[in-house]
Amino acid sequence: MTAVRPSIRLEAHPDVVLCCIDWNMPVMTGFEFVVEARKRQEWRDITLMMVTTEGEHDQIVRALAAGAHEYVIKPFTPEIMLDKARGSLACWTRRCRHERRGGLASHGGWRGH
Amino acid sequence: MPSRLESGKEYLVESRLAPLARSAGSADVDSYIRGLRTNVAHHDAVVDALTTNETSWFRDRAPFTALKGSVLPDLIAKGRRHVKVWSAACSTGQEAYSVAITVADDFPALTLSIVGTDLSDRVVERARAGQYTQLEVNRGLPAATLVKYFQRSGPTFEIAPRLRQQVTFRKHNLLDAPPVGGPYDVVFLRNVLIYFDVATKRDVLRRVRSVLAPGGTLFLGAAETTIGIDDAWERVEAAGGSVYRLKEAKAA
Repeated sequence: MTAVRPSIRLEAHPDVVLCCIDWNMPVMTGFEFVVEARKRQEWRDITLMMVTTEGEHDQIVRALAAGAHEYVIKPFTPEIMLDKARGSLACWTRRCRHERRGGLASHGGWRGH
Repeated sequence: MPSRLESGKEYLVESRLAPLARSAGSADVDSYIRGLRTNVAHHDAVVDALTTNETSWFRDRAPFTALKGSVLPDLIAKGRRHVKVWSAACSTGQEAYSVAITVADDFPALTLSIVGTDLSDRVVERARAGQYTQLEVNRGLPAATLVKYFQRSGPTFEIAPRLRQQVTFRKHNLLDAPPVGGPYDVVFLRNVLIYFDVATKRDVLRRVRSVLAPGGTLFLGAAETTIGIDDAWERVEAAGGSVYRLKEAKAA
């Protein structure tokens, strides 16, 4: 995967509703991306989910405080990803209060086990 | 082993005991079982193999929505300041701690005592320790709840002492007299009756009745019911979920 700013990647896909974000990425960290994404009014409704091996208590707190909705620590199973995504998308649906079609996007190099 | 399995579940015994039989050098599961009658040392390993310890935080969600939206508000409306909960067949403790988290989050004025029981020594010890792996904390636990109520301790996450203090874990067989500490306002008995035959289900439900507080609430698994087994109970809708209450309690 070529190193592109995730924000540029996201701009090309306005229908994205969920971003799964690794902490350690080229160009910018997942944490920096969350901070940047949260500044953009037009991305308010996007659910941001950290998916990373970084599992220190204060890292999770920082990511949530910066505006990530969920945090999955690797390793994970497909069932865990679906559960977390459903949980945060349910919050998202409540926030938006209107139906919107969308897809799932991933950024970075995360892989399940 | 006093457990009475529902017919059709025999394959479970066969498939789960086969590895133990092999490692003990028995020719097959039958001869391994015959050996068990004299070899007490293997009993705990057999309990572990035969009991299903699959669990997660806020498992199935609906019971916890009902607890938060209906059961606990009703108890508070009746003037209750203290609530007693029995988490039966509690496995590694996620259900009991999920109740403690629900109360801490939404009913901080309520004090709580929870008894968690399981047949297996090993899982009771794990529940008591309140330490969970990364994989376990990923399962059903929102990240915001994780950072609020757990501390990282090396490779594991440890539940906050103030929540752990509210829960007592004990080894207990559902076929024996109910654990002391009742009467209980809320009993969780989920996904365990499915393994028993009808007569045993009825026995277990009768024992639960005997320790349920007046107006108390029973949570069963989504695929379980008291209907056709013990008619003393009735199914009641509670905040989108189903719970069971004793019929007499309604008239009282």
